[in-house]
Amino acid sequence: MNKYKLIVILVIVAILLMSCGSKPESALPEAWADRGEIRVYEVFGMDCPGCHGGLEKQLNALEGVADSKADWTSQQVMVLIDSGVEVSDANIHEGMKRANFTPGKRLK
Amino acid sequence: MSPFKKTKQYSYYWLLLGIFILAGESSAGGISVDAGLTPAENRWMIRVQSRQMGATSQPSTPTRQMKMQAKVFMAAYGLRPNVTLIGMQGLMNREMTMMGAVNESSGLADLNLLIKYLIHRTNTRHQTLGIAATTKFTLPTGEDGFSDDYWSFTPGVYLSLRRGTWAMDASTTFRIQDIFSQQDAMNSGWEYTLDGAIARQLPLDGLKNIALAPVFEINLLIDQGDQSSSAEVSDAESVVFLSPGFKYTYGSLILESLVQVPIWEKIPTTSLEKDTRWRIGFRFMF
Repeated sequence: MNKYKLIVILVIVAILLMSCGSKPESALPEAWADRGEIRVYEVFGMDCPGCHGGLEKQLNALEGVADSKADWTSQQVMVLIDSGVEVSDANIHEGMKRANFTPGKRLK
Repeated sequence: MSPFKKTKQYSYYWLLLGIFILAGESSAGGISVDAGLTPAENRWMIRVQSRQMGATSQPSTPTRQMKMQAKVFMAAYGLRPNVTLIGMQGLMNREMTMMGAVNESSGLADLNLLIKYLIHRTNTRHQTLGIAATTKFTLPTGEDGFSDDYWSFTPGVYLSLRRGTWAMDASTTFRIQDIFSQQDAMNSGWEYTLDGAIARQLPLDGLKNIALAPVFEINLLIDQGDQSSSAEVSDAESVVFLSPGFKYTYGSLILESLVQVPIWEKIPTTSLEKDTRWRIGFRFMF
């Protein structure tokens, strides 16, 4: 075992672990303009970019939800509701729970 | 032509060496996979991994070497938010060298079926904590030389903590071999693993669907292989790996790689020392 190689590997990993990441801003998808009501919810439990797919899949399966976009960095999800359709917050929350996440406040 | 290839004794020795390596490969690391956090209901995940591993004889013994490449295919399905079904199948290629003679073989390994049950999960603004239990059954479906030829059962507990962009995982499993006592005149073996991992998700500037995560793992494996019932001394092997690696996430696709460096090993004098192992693969969720 070359101990020096191991030390170098450890130092590189430590530097990468300690380096900073940035938090990009959420943006409204252009295709959503004038298509219906747009809601924004807090949602807790997303910890990587891959998490949003599971949440969006659950929300998009709900009756009346046209589309959704989740952002793990801001812990928010935007939901586009079809025009003229009533979708309760409770239904949205149920979709979040099926994705193993916890609903927060409705922000918009 | 070496007599090595022809004798039953050496064939048996080769087989045993191969199965010990296979048993060790069935666990020992690669755990930074949200193990304590079950996926969403109705979500599929496929995972393909290529694993390169090997073992070499100790300096005081005759030269022997084993190299193995495993391609592991895994499919997981979120049956419910708290229940995940997992199937895992390996395709193995093995090259063994002993006293200059080389023997190469390939075949399917045993099929693994797992159920993961989420015991507890809390999500808050600042952290996520998940604890899950798994039960794994290993079915003797593998080809000759790549199968244990018996059923095994492996219960395990997994814990995952996410705090901001930091991710910490721990797990422990205990494999009970030959649960239906299919072997004559043998004491069934067992295998214990204890793993820890730390990673940090680094969102790449302005790209919210892309993140790079350096990963660092430590893995303990204690492997007591099946032994003749007349054996008087345990031939259990213990090894600790330090494993740096990374995960690169692009939406639902994750590329991952890990180098497992054995830093401590306690093995009988006749056993092979484990070499550095490599893992590279991808996961896709849909």
